[in-house]
Amino acid sequence: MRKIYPVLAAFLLAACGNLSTSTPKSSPEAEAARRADSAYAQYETMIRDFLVGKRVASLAALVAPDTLPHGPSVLLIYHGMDCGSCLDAGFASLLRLRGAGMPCTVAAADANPSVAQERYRYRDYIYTDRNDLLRRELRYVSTPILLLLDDSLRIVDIYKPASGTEAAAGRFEKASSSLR
Amino acid sequence: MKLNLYLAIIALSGLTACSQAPKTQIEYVELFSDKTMQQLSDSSFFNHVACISEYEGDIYMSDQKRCQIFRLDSNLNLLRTIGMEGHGPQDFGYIENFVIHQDTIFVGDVTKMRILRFSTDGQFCGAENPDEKIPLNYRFTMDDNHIYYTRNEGIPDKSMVDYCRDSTANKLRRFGQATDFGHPHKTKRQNARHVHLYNNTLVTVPTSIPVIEIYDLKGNTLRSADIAGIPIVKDMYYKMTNDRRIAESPNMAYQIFLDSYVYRDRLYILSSVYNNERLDHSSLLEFDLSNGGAEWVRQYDFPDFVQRFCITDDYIYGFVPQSSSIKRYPLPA
Repeated sequence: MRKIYPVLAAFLLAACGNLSTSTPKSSPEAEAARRADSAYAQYETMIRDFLVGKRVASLAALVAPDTLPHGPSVLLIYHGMDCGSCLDAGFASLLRLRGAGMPCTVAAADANPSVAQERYRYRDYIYTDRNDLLRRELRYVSTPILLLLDDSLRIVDIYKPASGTEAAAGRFEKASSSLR
Repeated sequence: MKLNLYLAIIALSGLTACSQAPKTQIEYVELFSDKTMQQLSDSSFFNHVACISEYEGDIYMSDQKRCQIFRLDSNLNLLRTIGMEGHGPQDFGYIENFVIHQDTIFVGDVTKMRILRFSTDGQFCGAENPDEKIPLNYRFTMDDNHIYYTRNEGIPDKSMVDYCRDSTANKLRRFGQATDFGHPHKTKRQNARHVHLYNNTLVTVPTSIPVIEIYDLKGNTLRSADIAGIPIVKDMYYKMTNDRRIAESPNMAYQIFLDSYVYRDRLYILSSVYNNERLDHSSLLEFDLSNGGAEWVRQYDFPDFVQRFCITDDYIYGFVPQSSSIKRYPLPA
């Protein structure tokens, strides 16, 4: 009978060891969310690596010289066929930045600007990029996109708005305010 | 006596088993991607791929936001960019689907409501200007003289149109089954179909109804296969028809199938799969068309949410909108 105690103790120890080393299983929703987040992060990193440091020279051809920002500014580029939730997130971030005093410029490609002005209560001018200069210069990067520009119109940071990207929006807004 | 009875029962059961038709074993295939393309080889990006097709070993894909068609080789290297956005006669307004027939790409321009012709080398060859608007948001097909596409005017009849290219009168002929969804807008949207040509028949896949319809070229229905029993179709159909937001709003419509494609004697239908109310991935259903019907033979499960696809002998090419990329999935040998 006494011989059984060491065996029981060893069994209990092994069970405890298994418990402590086993990782908690994630739920299917959490797994799907993690995959979507990682796909977004991967894509955002790729376009950030591609864009940061480039100069958006065609903005000077689109915007009147006296309205061209002379310091750090934020440029939102969107297309008429962009997804609604992405535009919602993009304009929400832009309005927060504008409210904080950041100079903002909006350029629309193949879109009716009055629709966005009405929907997002954006009462400033939206430039229409009729010849698609901005997208061509940026190698047709996916829109909508927010670009943080320095005083020489060079891209410092980017934010690719989409639904569920509040953390990325917060990081971008922080970077914008630190540049000011 | 008892032995004879047992023998009779065994023989009877054996006969019954033999007389039953052999059931097709469905094969389930888990796919993995071996190549991902997020940028074209000229370092430019593509935005939203609306249609992918294979023609003579090369892959063609249309980009909605760039309004261009890209010709790629099987390793996803860019060979040619075809067309551009603009207001000229050979420019696109807004493109989605195209079909390639005898070395000519027929591109449906949704805003200009016409079909532009380009050679596979990118040369503009002319345009088809039918008498009425042609919305080509879904896959359409053609033979030498006819273009077949979906169009429903919100009436519960005639979901498709045959546009005869070389006729001066009676250019448009309407045919095809359609379902009444209780509101003209819903009836119009939910009767859309992807149309494919296979062995002198038209194979249509309604985007919101779980059936596969087969018509002859005169528009007579040859067969209508109900595929609502397939588990992923059943789940999607149940989810969509029980969505109260869609049911209560006349402006909302649902879609069960994302895309479809005919390659050799197989029809492939792409459907999204939800996991606990969250969009998880896509699955591809393969149907055998060789017996005159549509028999479900295989299911491919993608690791990603694939929205558009095409298939070749060796690979499936899919557009993944989450990462705005084209992924290549090798087919098992």
